[in-house]
Amino acid sequence: MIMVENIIQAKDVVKSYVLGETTVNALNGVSLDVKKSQIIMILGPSGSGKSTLLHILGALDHPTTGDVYIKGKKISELDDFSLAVFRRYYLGFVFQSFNLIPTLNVLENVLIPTIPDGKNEEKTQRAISLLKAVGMSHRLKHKPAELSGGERQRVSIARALINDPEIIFADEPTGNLDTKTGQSIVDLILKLRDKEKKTFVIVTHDPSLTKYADKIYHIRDGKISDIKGK
Amino acid sequence: MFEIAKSAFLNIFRRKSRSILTFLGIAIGLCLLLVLISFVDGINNEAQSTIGKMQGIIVSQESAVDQVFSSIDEGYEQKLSKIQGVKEVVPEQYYFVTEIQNKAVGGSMFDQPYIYAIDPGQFENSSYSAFIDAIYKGRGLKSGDNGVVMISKDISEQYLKGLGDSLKVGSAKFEVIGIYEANSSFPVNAIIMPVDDFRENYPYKKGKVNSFYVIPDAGADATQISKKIEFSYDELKAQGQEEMMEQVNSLLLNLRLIAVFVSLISAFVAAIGIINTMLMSVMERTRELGTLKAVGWTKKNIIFMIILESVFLSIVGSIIALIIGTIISKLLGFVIGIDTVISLTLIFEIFAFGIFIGLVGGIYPAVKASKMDPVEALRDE
Ligand SMILES: Nc1ncnc2c1ncn2[C@@H]1O[C@H](COP(=O)(O)OP(=O)(O)OP(=O)(O)O)[C@@H](O)[C@H]1O
Ligand SMILES: [Mg+2]
Repeated sequence: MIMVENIIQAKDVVKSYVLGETTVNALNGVSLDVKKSQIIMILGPSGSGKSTLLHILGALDHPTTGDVYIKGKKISELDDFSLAVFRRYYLGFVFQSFNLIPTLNVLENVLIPTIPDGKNEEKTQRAISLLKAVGMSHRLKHKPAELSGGERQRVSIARALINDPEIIFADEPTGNLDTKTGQSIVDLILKLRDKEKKTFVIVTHDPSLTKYADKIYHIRDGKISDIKGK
Repeated sequence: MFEIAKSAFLNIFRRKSRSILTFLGIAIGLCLLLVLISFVDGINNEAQSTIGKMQGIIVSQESAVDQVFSSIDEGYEQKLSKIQGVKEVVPEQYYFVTEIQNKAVGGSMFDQPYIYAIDPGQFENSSYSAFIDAIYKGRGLKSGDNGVVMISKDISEQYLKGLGDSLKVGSAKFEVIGIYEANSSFPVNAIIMPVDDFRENYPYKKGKVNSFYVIPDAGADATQISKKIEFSYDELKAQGQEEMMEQVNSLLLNLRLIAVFVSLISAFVAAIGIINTMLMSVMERTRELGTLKAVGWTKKNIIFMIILESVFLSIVGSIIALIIGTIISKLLGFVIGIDTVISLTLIFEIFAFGIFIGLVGGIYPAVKASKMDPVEALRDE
């Protein structure tokens, strides 16, 4: 028996955009492995392709060439339905721009991923306790527009965790947070990794975050330029 | 599914002004359908019930558009009475009145008052049951009556004349002995008087009448008598219950076809309106729909939600159409004098039609929404 130790595998991922006559390679042959229950961080300058890579690793986007496997499944071979189910139960996403729905309140936003299954009291309780964990339980009925950037970020973290996914992708999850709330998010991440064996793939600039990484990939111009950790 | 339905329901309240425009777009079309059909059904009802009571056959000049313009020889009375199965032949005369109570009366052919003159004895003995039924005050004409008239409720109200009052019609005065209720087959504008009074006071063509009311023997076949009359006298037109019914039905069928045609056009417009609203709303929510896909909503979930939104819009549109349409139909019916009919079937049809428009109008925007690529959608600023 071979354990699928690498929960995510990317092989020679290229992502190019054709803009008129020129082709932009946002990713230029990226290969990497993510082990279960690890915290992986992706660092690099602005425009180096971090978000693009995160979307591809998280099955939101397709590479132009190359392959991505999540839990041993080749993503390009999944049909629309399986992909949706996969995203719903296994993958959680914290977007760089949060993407909360403006007309829904905080609690409703956190519950969006549960709607296709019919949300229930148990889910609502879970949403409230997640909001408590990110320090947002006093804002349940607020609309996103009534929240600060850091607060929206924390709501989107709670939303990413609502269906108890195995892998959480986060694009600058502490970018808008002060040191204290940032630290509480870090503590939450560490707890989830240690107690619940969750895997994290995090894009960040934040030096106070990088010290918790099990492995760090530096990317530059769409290529991995440096790897730290095991 | 319930939760998605709930989201869809809430979504329509998010763009209030546009939702309202869409409601109206749908409502106008359905409203039109409701008013038109309720009128057709109302006319049909009244026509059926009054024609149903008509036992006689109206014999008039073949080429005349209406009895009022028909002119035939008095002598036909004899000939018609001899036809087998005929019990009675009642000559009828019409005359447009130009002055009542010394005041000029105007109006179109449809509302200008006219005198309907017949033999009072025949009115009494004959089966003028439909007219008798319509009397709501006083009595009908009787043998030996003279100097008296029956008038419609409208005329009674317009000139403030009740039973026993005297009414000046042209240059002659008459006592009002009966008032009848007008409806689609009893005109709002008739003054019924004994034929002798008529001939004394008003001009008429000697030896001519407008038409005959032919009453068949009990048990005789009216249709056959009509056929016999028309067969024997080319210059005459005989219309019994059946012929009238046929004529009314073909008219109503045309009206109904027009109603359906007009409504189909407005439904088409409504469907385009709903497609437009839904497409705009889908475009506006590109980012949001992308997020839904990114957090694990399936294509079907999204299609279901958008189509439901569209159906909710059209249901609200149908309800508005029902309320406004009923009010318009009843008001207009009241003004025109037709008791319009809004049947359960019609209500059901309006809803079914509305939902159908919503379903069809929602499909294209829904499919478009479901095809949204999550990353493209999330990139949309
Ligand atoms: N849809 C697209 N069309 C064209 N070019 C794109 C598209 N998406 C990304 N790019 C390009 O790919 C490159 C990488 O973009 P990406 O968003 O991954 O950068 P990033 O590393 O996340 O930057 P930041 O730190 O600013 O978020 C950029 O140069 C960007 O312009
Ligand atoms: Mg980025």
